[in-house]
Amino acid sequence: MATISAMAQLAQQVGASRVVVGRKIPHPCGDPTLPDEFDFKVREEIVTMAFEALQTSVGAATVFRPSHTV
Amino acid sequence: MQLDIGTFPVNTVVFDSETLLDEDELKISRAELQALLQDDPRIAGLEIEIVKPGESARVIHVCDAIEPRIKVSGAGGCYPGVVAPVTTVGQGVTHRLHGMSVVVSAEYPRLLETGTGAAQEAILEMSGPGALSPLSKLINVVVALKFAPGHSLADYHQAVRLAGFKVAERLAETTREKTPAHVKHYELTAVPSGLPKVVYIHQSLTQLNLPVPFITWYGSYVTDWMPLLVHPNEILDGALLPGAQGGHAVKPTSWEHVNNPVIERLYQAHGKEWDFAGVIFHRTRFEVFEDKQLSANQAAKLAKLMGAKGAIITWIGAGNAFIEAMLTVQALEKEGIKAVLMTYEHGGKEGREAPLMYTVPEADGVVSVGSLDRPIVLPKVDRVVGGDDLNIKPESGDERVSGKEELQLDWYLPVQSAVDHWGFGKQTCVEY
Repeated sequence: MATISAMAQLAQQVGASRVVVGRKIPHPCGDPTLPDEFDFKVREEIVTMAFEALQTSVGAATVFRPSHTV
Repeated sequence: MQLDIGTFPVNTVVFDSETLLDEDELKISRAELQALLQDDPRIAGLEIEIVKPGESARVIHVCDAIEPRIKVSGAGGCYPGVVAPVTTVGQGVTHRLHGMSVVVSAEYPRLLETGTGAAQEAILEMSGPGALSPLSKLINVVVALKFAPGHSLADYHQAVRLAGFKVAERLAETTREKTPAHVKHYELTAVPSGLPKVVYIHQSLTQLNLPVPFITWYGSYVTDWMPLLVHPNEILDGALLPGAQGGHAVKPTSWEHVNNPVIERLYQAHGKEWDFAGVIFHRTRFEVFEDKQLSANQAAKLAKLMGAKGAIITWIGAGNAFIEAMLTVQALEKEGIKAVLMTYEHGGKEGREAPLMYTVPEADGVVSVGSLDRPIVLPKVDRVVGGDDLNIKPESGDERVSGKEELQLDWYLPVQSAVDHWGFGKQTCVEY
């Protein structure tokens, strides 16, 4: 399982195995306040990384960090 | 910045034909106060009542409680940005009526049905187990409004705020030419070096997803601001206020803001035990983690620039905003500043669940101010003010219950100011 969460530290604290750092608490997979093309880029990065995380074997709680840079 | 606050203790409040202060008795003309508000088209009905400590009475639909204060000399006016210009306050002479408040009650239409912005019930108990807040120990002049239909949420908020502060201002006006029973001087004087500098980091959420995002600074809604350096006297003169629809346990009222005991205590031992260096107002509830971390770092940076050796952190909110509280503790400790956090706990109904939703290893000095999660039963009362019935769980539907009957609450949340963020009382949690 991979958890996309804007509060990665919280997800880690409750023991999620694969944590993908999301963007905003109410919008973990994107940021509607950004211009559309930036929002799309952020969404693509986060979701792609979640798929990559699912295919990665992990021992302890591991954080996957998309760049989020726009 | 020097501020003298003159206190006029009020021990009795009665209705009379005119509004005046006679020693410690405040006489109120209902007709005069009603006339003050009658031109507001958003207000369709208006009642003014008095409730007293210890009385078997309950106020429902509470929006705010306000301590009547006026500026009698010096720049600006009390509650700037709301009923006075945005002139920087915290100087001169302020008068206040103490031992009482103006409580505004109004039931909001459910223009927002769900989520954190939906209107929630806030109950003020004048006796019994629910009389938890300092407001229950005051004589409260309740201004109960009924809204005219067809206005926006922002309009109703404005109507509530103006009604409360106009009435409070009128009542405080009775003190203008009089001599206060006692005067207290507030000034951050230079103190002997060697005393540790202490700052107060005063956090509050604002909710940018709402039409009216809660806290205001000089009447201006606080949005995604970075931490701001504040003189404590500005807060004492009412520069920092909750927006209207303040309501319920985790949103302190205006009365509590201007009587903040953390500021009182820091002043009390200023120059004796420590050097009170000032206040950092820190807006919280950022939605992006980096913004939370950034704001925490900025608060710690300001504290460092102020030369702080220690910091007291309080926070207002629930959930989301707590992350910044913990991150700020961490950022301060990393700067070598000792940090003490005051917070309420969760713990669930029986106190067996996690008390705090998020922690950092640096948080080694935390003061518990009680639990939000404990169930509470409010017994039947003789008198209810502000309406006849209420909806305790608006999120679950339209079920209304009588305001006079016993109310069984799942947790403290619907009780106005039941959470003691700043240490007015002695609530805490103990392990047993």
